[in-house]
Order: sequence, then structure tokens, then C-alpha cells
Amino acid sequence: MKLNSNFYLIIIAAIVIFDVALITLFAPTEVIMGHVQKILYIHVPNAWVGFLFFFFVFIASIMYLITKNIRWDYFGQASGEIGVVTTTIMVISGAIWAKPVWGVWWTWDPKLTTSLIMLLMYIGYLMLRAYASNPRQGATFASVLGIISFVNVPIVYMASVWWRTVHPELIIGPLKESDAGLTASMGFILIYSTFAITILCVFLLVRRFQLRTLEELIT
Amino acid sequence: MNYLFAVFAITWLVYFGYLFVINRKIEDVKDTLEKTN
Repeated sequence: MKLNSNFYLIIIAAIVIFDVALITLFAPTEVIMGHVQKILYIHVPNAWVGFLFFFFVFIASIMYLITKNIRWDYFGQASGEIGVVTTTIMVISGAIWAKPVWGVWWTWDPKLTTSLIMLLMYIGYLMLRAYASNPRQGATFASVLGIISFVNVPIVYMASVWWRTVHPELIIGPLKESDAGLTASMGFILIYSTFAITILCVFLLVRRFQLRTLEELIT
Repeated sequence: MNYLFAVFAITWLVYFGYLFVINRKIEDVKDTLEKTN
């Protein structure tokens, strides 16, 4: 098992290093924003992975409430934790991009505000479970919150369509509004970066799930 | 360029730091299980 996880880790590290090389060395430098535009290759994939993992929380929450199988709850917890990590990176990378482009780290724009609310809701999802006196009751309450919180995910995605916003248009997903002037090579690097971060997060999910299962053996 | 490197540093430190913590905890739990068995 240890050898296997190290083997996968080496493969994933190679994928990530190649991603960094692509972004820094091969991605074209955008004319107006310069190197700062390359933050897009980290920001957008993290947003996508956050949505994906919050969808996993949603599915796991429904399945736990139906089956009462605790392994669904472990899966939801692991997914929620990694979703919070990716969304935090998404918010921080967005703020770092905003400072040189907008002149401010943060503004109460609909897209940013709904993203922050989403992040806080999933932190609440993790806290609710952590502070529950009865683990089974905590799992049930967290599952209900996991379902309710998912309502905010499409709102975050659609915020730039529904409301007037300074945030750039959607450039990824089924409802993308434009390619935001991305060239073919920019598009390829964005897809590769999304692949790299998704693979890394799936590996994290597997390890976190293993840890939660092992912890249960002790308790 | 500094902004881009700041994003890289935060992203990969958080991800691999998180992975490091999980791996350490897995090893600790396995050790505890071995001692109790």
C-alpha cells in the first residue's frame, strides 16, 4: 500500500511539475495583463475542482440520509474538506490577480460574495460534524447542510450571467459565454492544468478517505 | 511575475502540506493500530 501511494505520488508530482513548466515557460503572455493573466491557469481549475467536490458532498449527503451507511459520510467529509481547500486557493488566487488588475484585493462583487458565502457554508459543514457530541447525529445534520449548501454552487457559477459584475465572463463549463480571447495554446494549458489539479485532488480524496476509515478502527 | 509566483507558492504549499499531514496521520494511526493488536 505504501509503495503504491508513493508511486502514485511520484506520477502526480510529475504531472504537476509539467503543469508549472507549461504555465511559466510555454503559456503565451497576455498583452494587457502580462504575467498576472497566468494566474487564470490556477484560479479556474481550483474553482472547477471545488464545484466538483461539493457535488460529491451533495451526492454523499443524499446517499447517507437514504442508506445510513457511514462510509458515505466519510466520503462526504473527505470531499468537503478538499473542496474547502481548493475553494480557499481559488479565493486567494483571485484576490492576488485582482490587486494588479482591479487595484483592490477584494470587492463585494456578486461572484466574489457568493463564492465567499459558499466557502463559509462548507466550513460550517465541516465544523458542524466536528463539534457534534454524537457522531451519527453530527453526520445526519452535516448531510442536511451538505444538501442545502449545494444550492449555492450553481448560483456562484451563474453569478456573472445573472448580475452585473466586474468578474470576467465564464470561460469554462457548459454555459461559457466566451473564450475570453484565449488562443489554442492557452486553452490547452487551461485544460491540462484542470486535469493536473483534478488528479491531485482525487489522490488527496482517496488518502483522506483512507485516514477517516482507519481512524474509525481506533475509536 | 511576483504575483504569479505568490499564487504558485501558496497553491503547492497548501496542497502538498495537506497531503503531508494526511500521510503522517495515516502512519500514526497505523502505528497505533499495530501497537494495540
